[in-house]
This record gives sequence, C-alpha cells and structure tokens, in this order.
Amino acid sequence: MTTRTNAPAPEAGLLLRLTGPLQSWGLHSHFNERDTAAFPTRSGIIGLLASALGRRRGQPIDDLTRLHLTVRTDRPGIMLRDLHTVGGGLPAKATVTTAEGKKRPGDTGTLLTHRYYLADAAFTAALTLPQHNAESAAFLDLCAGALRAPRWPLHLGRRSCPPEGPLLLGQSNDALHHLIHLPLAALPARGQAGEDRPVEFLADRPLTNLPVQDRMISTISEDGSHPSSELNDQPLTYHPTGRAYRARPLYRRSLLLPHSQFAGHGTDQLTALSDYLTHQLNTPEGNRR
Amino acid sequence: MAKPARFIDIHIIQSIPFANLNRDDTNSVKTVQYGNVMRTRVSSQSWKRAVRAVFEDRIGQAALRTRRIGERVTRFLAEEHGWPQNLAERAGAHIAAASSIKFELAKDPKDAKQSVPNKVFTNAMVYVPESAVTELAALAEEHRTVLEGAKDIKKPADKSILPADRVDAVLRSRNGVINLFGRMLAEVDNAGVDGAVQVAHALTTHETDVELDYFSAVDDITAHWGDQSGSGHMGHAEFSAGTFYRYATIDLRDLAANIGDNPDELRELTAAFLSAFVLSLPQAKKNSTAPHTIPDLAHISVRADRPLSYAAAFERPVLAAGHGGFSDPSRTVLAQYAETANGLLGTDAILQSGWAGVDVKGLDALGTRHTGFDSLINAALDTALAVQSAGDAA
Repeated sequence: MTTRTNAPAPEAGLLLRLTGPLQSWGLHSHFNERDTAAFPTRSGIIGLLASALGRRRGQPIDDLTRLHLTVRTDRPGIMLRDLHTVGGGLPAKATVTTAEGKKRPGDTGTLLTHRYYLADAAFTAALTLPQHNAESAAFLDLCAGALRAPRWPLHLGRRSCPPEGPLLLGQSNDALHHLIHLPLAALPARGQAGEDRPVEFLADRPLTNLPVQDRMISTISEDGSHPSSELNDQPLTYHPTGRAYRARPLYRRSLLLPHSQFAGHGTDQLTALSDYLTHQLNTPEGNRR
Repeated sequence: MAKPARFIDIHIIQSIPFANLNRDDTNSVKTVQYGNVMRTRVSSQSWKRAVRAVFEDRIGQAALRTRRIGERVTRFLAEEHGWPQNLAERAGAHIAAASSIKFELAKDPKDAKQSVPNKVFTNAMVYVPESAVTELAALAEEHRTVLEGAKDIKKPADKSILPADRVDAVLRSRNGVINLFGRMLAEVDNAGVDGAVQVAHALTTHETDVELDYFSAVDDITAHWGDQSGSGHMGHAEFSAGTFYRYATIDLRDLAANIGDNPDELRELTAAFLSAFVLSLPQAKKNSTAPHTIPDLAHISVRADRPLSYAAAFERPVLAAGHGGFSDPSRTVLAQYAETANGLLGTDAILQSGWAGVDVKGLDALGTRHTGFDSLINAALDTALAVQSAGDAA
C-alpha cells in the first residue's frame, strides 16, 4: 500500500506498559490445559481494569468494554510450557500413567496440569474512547486513577505474573500517536544501525486510524483495514459460574519504527520512557515529533 | 491525614548453589527465557507451597487440602471416639456425601468394576482448617443414633442422612492459612476466599546453564572383592546454580477483610508470611544438594498506591563481577532500578522502605538498613498497620 496517510481524529486514552518475565492471556483454557494467546487479549485487559477499579466478578463491565484496545508488540516473547502437579488422592483412572504404563494407587496419584506462558514478552497498549466529551474524560480519569492505585494487585493474565515497573504510562488526548512513538522495550538490532524495523500493532478495529507517518509504511505490509482473524475474547461478564465471551475481529498491521526508538531492557528503557514522558507526553498537546 | 497502607512488597536476592529446587515432567530444572537469555526458574506454586509449610508452623495452624475428608473423619471417629470400624466408615461416608460437593466411591483394587461401600471421595478437593476434622466428628457423634440405623453409601446417588447445611458450614470455615492464601471451592456457596498474597515465579538475575550430573553407584561387594569392573548403576540428574530474584506482595485490605476486625491477627499473619517468605526454600532434592541458603538481601516496602515488582532490573542479564559472583552486582542493579522506578512514579506513596542483607552500604535507594530480617519486618509492620488502621478510620 502506498496510499497517502490521512490524519484521523485524535483519540483520548490511556497508555499501558505490559511487561514482566511471564504473562499468560488465556483464550481456550479448560481444566488442566491453560493456554495463552501470543498477545494481551481484550478479556485480559478489561479484566485488569475491572480489578483495578475493584469490580467484583459478576458486576457490570459495560462501561469498560466500550474502550478500544490497540496493542504494540515491543517483544513477542516465546511460549513456555510449565508443568504443575496438583493434589493427590484422586481415583486411579483420573491420574497420570506412570513410566511403566501402570496407574499409581489412589492416595499417591497426582494430577498434572500444563500451563502455558508467554516468556520475555513486552507490549505497550492504548485503551481509547472515540468520542470526546466531559463524560468520557471523567471516565478515563477514573480508570487512570485506578491503575495508579488499584484496588487489587494487578497481574498479566495470571496471578503469578505480576507486571514489573510502571503499568500506567500516562493519559493523553492523542493516545495512538504516543502508542507509535513511545520508546520500545526492545534492544536495537545489532549491526544495522540506522535501519527502521517493523513492529506489529494489533487492534479490535481497523488499524487505518493509526496516525502514521509515510516513512513508517512498509510496501510489503498490509494497511490493517481488513481483519486477519477472529478471537473469542470480548468479555460479556466475568461472573464466577457463568463467564461469557463474544467473538470479535482481530486486525494486524506492521509499521517501520526508527532504530533510535528501541530503548533496550530494564533500567535503560525506564530511563528512555521517563525522558519521553517528561518531554513529549506531559507537554501541551499538539507537540508531535 | 496519612495515606492508608495497602500493599507490602517484598523483594529478595538469594544465591542458591548447585540444586534442583523445582523440576518438570522430565526431571529437568525449570527455566525461563528473559531478556533473550535462559534463566533458572522456580515456579510461584512451588515456592508458595514451601512458604505455606513454614507459615503454618509459625502460626501454629494447619489446613488440609483433600478429597478424602470422609476417610479422615472415619479414622478420627475410630481412633479418638472409639467407634466400631464399620460405623465409623458409614459416618465418614455420610459426612462426605452430605456436602454440596458431588462424590464418587473408591473402586475395589481387585475388581475395578466394583465400588467400595462407604469409601467416598469428594469430586473437588476441600480446603479446610485442620479443626474441621474434629468438628465433623462431633457432628457425627451428635447423630450417632441415626447413623446406626442408616444405610451404607454404596453409589453416588445415595443420600446422606446428615444435614448438608451443617457440613457445608464446616467446609466454609477458615483459619489464618486460608485467609492469607485463599481458597477456590466453587461447589459450596460462599466458600471461596480470594487470597491476599501474590507470589511471582522466582528467576535468576543472570543467564544460567542447566548442568548434567553424571553419576555411578559403586557396588560394595564388587569394590571389596575387586573381581569385576564397572558400577552397579549409573544415571544422570540435572542441576543448576544461580542468584535468584524473588518477589511477593501482600494486599493488606484484602487480608484485613478476610480476617474481620482483628488487628492482632492481621499483624501475626503478615509477620508470619513475610518471615516465611524470607526463610523458606522448596525442598526438592534437598538431601542430594543441601541448598539451605538464606537471602543475600531482603527489601521490603510499604506502599499506599500499588504493588511494584522490580523483575525488569534483571531483564538485561547481570554479568558476573570482575572477581566472579552474581550476588553483589545483582544487589547493585536492584538498587539502581529501584531508584529509576521511584523517579518515574514518585516516592509519595512509599510509606516505609528498608532492607537487610550481607551488604553494609551503598543501597540507599532501598531505604533504611536493618541489621536483621526480624527488625526489617517489624519496622514495615509498625508503619503498615498503624497507617492501615488510620486509613480505615478515615
């Protein structure tokens, strides 16, 4: 695609940093097989927000599901399978088969569960509202406050996966612009100084509304106007005995981001973020690089 | 007005020698890729279980997690109440069958098609204070006459003659262990308890290799007679050594809500958890490697805003110091990261911060230095609980 970029209307929203050694965003988890998607899901992020706000399972989340989620993949990470044993005391037929092909007696049999994690992944995300009014501004303030001082400890999809460092990067009237420009939690490529690198964006609606600059558009990548697949992760209710989800489209788009934006790991990225937040995000709007 | 204390974060740097604290289904050391290199990992579940054992010991309470609660009550009735064995078995079965949890019967080991009467497993594991056994036995004692005239439980459709609400009430009961670690029991209404602690997977601050230890076992008679060569047995096992970063957080409001109005218990449970987290170690293969170390550094902060993990301090893997060793540079890197993160988030919400460890200086970003772990924990509790109750009153 080589069409000229149009300038979509800026959207107000929150910017989140989703990193930690492990994350796990279940999609089809069932009993002893706990999977993860390769990126944060809508149900996971809206659940995180609900938890920050102190909503109990089963309380309404309609206001939260209005938010649009756009995720930038700083580092995709790798899949990790973790074996976890549970209990003992199960009847023989429900236990694992031993190396000899036999079953252990009831009181020593152990149940194995497999939990999948995304290791070494880092994402930056924007939660935005297309409409601009006093009500939406107040709502975003409320969510930002909750993420700064959450009611419950937050986690990246599973309780054993706490986020590290700052989770809420800030609030902006042009969140998607900053989603593109914030320093990445990734190392610059070795030996290719100066070269732009493709970074993937994922969203629940067409990615043609990203305020991109022409130089970011790669000729080999799609423009994100058509869904690439469908995910069953639009939460309707987190009721403990009746969780329900609906399908939604998944859009993908890859943009070329400059070498200088890859800020590295740990303290290096935090320092770069701190710099960016001070000079770009927290200055009057319209300050676009 | 002081801000309410909401979370206590605990960060630990701990070196563990050649060991395999937590292994997977192939006996391999658990690992995780982080910052593009492999690290040794101990899962949160594994370390939490080790913490729970020390914690139960500290507070003098235990909890049972079992599907065999009926059998446990049977044994108690037979041994402590002097009930005849067959009546005790029937009582245990009626207890387990009375709860809201569905059940099944044990199969005869000689003929898997036959069930064993009165040997009942609940389909879900119950998680109860150990005192539940005596309470359920007392309930059986109260209904002894009815039980004497009752039928045995022979199939999952059989009905218990005991009151379901009273058994469920016991299964709903809690103690300190459950108030802190939580309980998941969907089958009994209102029995679920949201845990008040969050524990992260522990991982090394640096790249590690898994080492393959080849071993052979000497046959003493062969060795004595010297008439053959070779060993009696050989095999291999996996181990790894490293300096770990461990992190956990306590949600003070949730813990206070789980306990009810009891400041003394709040303090006791929080102190016991922190001290158990500092000093516990998973016990896997302990006799092969004796990896009984203590933390090189423990850092605790009391926060009014949110929990904050410092795992990313080690996203860029720590390199060994010039003279070798990962512990010293890991502590320095942790302090540097804490300083950067505090710069970004501000320090207003940090109500108290301190550390204790093998260093004597240079970790100013981690707060006040304490000479011992107990003093570190007590200082955190003094602040957290004073400000917690001030927050409650506000």
